[in-house]
Amino acid sequence: MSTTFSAGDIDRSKGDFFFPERNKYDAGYGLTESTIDYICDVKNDPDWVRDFRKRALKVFHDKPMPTHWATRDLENIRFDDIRYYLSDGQKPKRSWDDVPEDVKKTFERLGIPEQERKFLAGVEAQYDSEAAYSNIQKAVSDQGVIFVNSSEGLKEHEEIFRPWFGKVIPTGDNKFSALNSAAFSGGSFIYVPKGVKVKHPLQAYFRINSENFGQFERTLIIVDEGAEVMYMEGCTAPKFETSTLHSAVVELVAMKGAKLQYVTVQNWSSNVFNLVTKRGIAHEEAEVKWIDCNIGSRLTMKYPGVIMKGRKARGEVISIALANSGQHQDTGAKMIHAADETTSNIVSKSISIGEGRATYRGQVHIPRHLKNCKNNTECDALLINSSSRTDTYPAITVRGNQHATQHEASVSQVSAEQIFYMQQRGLSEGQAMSLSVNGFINDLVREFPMEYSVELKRLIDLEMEDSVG
Amino acid sequence: MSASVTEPVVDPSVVWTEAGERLMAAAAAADPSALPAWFVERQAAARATYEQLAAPKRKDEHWRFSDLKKLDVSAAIPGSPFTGADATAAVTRSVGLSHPAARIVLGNDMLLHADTAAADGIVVMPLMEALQVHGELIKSHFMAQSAGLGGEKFFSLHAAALRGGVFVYIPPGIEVDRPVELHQWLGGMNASTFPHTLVVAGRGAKVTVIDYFQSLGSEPGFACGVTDLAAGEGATITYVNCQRWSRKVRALHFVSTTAGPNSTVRSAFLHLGAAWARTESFCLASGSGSRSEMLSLAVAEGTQEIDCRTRQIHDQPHTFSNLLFKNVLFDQARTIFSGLILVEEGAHYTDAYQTCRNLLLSEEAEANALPGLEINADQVKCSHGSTSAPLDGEQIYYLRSRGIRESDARQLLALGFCLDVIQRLGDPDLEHVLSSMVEEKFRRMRKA
Repeated sequence: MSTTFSAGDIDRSKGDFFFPERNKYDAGYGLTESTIDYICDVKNDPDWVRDFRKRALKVFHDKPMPTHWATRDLENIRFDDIRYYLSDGQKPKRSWDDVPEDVKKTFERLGIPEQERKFLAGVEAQYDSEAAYSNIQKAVSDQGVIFVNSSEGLKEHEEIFRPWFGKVIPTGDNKFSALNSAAFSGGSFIYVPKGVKVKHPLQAYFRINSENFGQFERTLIIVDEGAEVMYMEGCTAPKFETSTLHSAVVELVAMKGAKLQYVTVQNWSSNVFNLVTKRGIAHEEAEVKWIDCNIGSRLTMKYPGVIMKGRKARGEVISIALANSGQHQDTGAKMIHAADETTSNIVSKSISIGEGRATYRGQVHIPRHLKNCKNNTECDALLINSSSRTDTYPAITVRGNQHATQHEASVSQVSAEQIFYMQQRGLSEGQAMSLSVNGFINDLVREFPMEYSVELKRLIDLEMEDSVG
Repeated sequence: MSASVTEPVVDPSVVWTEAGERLMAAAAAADPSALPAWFVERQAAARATYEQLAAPKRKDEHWRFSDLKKLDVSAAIPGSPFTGADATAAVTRSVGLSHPAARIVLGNDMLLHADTAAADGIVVMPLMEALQVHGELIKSHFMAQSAGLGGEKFFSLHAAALRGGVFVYIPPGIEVDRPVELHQWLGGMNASTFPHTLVVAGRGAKVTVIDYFQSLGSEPGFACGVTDLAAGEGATITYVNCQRWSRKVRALHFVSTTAGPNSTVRSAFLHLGAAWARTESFCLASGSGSRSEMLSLAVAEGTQEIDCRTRQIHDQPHTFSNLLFKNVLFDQARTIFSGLILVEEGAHYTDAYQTCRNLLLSEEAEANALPGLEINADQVKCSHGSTSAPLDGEQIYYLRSRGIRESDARQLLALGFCLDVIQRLGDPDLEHVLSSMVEEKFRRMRKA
């Protein structure tokens, strides 16, 4: 008996809404030196930022597309048809009452106000380029934690911001980090002072709400010695007809003994190119952990990395990817061991539905002069339909006889017997599939903060709804 | 800063063009009337392809981690036929199993000795001769597919420069109990060889072929070989590629396997020699019920670099493939394993596995692993695993507690790691021959 399940379209109606655009600043289409000047003028950037952007623009133009290893779909990005800067206004709104009614409505549907009251320490919600609403709960700011948007960060806290800005991910790291360095706006800047343990996760929602509009947030998080923080980022975007480009750069710095967790739930609509560079530096005995879930977008290329720079530093990537028809989730992890006794762990699970394609791409590097480094990598893929696709491309380099690495990957299906069994117990085929898929990723979902794991399960149910029939 | 003292920059493509001309000249000078027209055309086409293809570059994904500087052929010249003492030495030193079904010895691709008395009902003969007798059969299998793993230029070079090689054909229904042995020698300063082995097994036939590659002296040299294995329905082929070139030889070898319905093909590499060796192996599970197994063991020391690229392709439902590649690394040795399991659309019910294990025995050794999976079908069972680690401290401790010296314990454990691959061949005599080669290398290294 053959059990192939045909895929239907996903019900995206829940994210399929948008409001009339009302942009006070608009840099127009295409990216040139004058676009950069426009952005700098509007944002009132200091000169060093203007120079930084212009240098980056040149790097962006010089660098070729990485299509010698990446998908050729990248060639479909029309850089000249993209608007690189849109803004509703300059000053982030401090009070909820100041936030425009339509923006509020959008956020309400995303559930921000309730969540904030319940769990969140602060909200830095980005509506188009600039923060539309920004608030840090008093308790957190009293501890000396800085949580502002990146524009404010580079102006108001230059002495902390500037030494690390562009240091974890240099402009020339790749074509898209250069693009971000040229056109960045929005994103968060967080500084957690020595020894401060932020109890509640800090959260920001990002949304794209203008057609053909690239969003280039720039996030820098610095956690000082012995401090701890968890940052959560979630995305949903309204559906548009033409492609949208999203290319963020996120830099994390964990000083000695610090702990930093970065949680992402990415659910862009399926016309978005999501090309993100994320990397953290972990100093001595520090821990950087990326918890990453990719559900939306047309093409996501995202390989969160950790550079373990200090002794006993630890890096971890937990990744869930769900690729439905028309989607390619090209995700993975990069672990660079640069000190003795560093350990890294990668656990990646992907689910391909319909004609969706999930790719794991990883790099683990352990140089020769180090001792007692360890890496563990596990990637599992689940194929739902007969036309689903999955790939795994890890690269592991180990030098010397004092290290241990192991890599394991498997590909499997939802077992027909399991589905049959559940149907026999009265579940519909769809419910059975959903349950099975949720079981597959259950151990990873538990790593997410509680409200995210609830949301995640709901999202997976939604994606699975029409995948059988 | 002055640039006056820097070395002149040699354009690698110029080096390859010049070397190619030299190496292909000998084959081009052969009498075309002695060869089938298709073969002459094929060689001419390969020459054109070679000239047209660009030399590999460091940034090519298929050459990731490869040290292209080590593939230096600027001095390579065609190998001259062995004469006198060299020919005698090659034949007397061609020792393998005690009673092979057939034994062929070649020096720089030319036949030196053929002992096929025991090969009843099967064909074991030099390829150039076979072209005249079994031309049509060879035509349908001769270099029928390129692995597509980055070495296409060298694959064309092989086809264009080919002057020798061996053809093994087992007619339907014949099972050969004893292995067929091929001893291929390389000799002379900067000499080049293009070993070619074509094994065709008809329906239900069974054969084991052992290909030994050795250098007569310790001069630098270049080897660019091809092995094609074609298993008909229900056939069984076991092929062992035993690479023991001298430590100054640069070697490339392409192995492609076509496994027909219900056939079993096993191919194994044993890498002990060469300064730089790269293998590109490709297996196509083209018939339902076919089983393909790929094995490799490399013991690398000094500055040796062993680069293994593999591709397991499944384009029919109900096929099986398994791969186990092991590397033992001493000193500053480097190994690269890059493997891909490709399950094509419609190849449902595929079982495909891939394992790479690296044993690092020195602080400066480097193991690179690129295990890959591309799955486009449903109802597939696939996995890959890759480990890189030193010897287990607890195991050493255990052996020491039994009175075994630490250095002996280490060697014993490293040997155990190696033997696992050899044992998979399932032939005790062959196991003995191959494991004694590994032990010999260990012994030599210990003395040094």
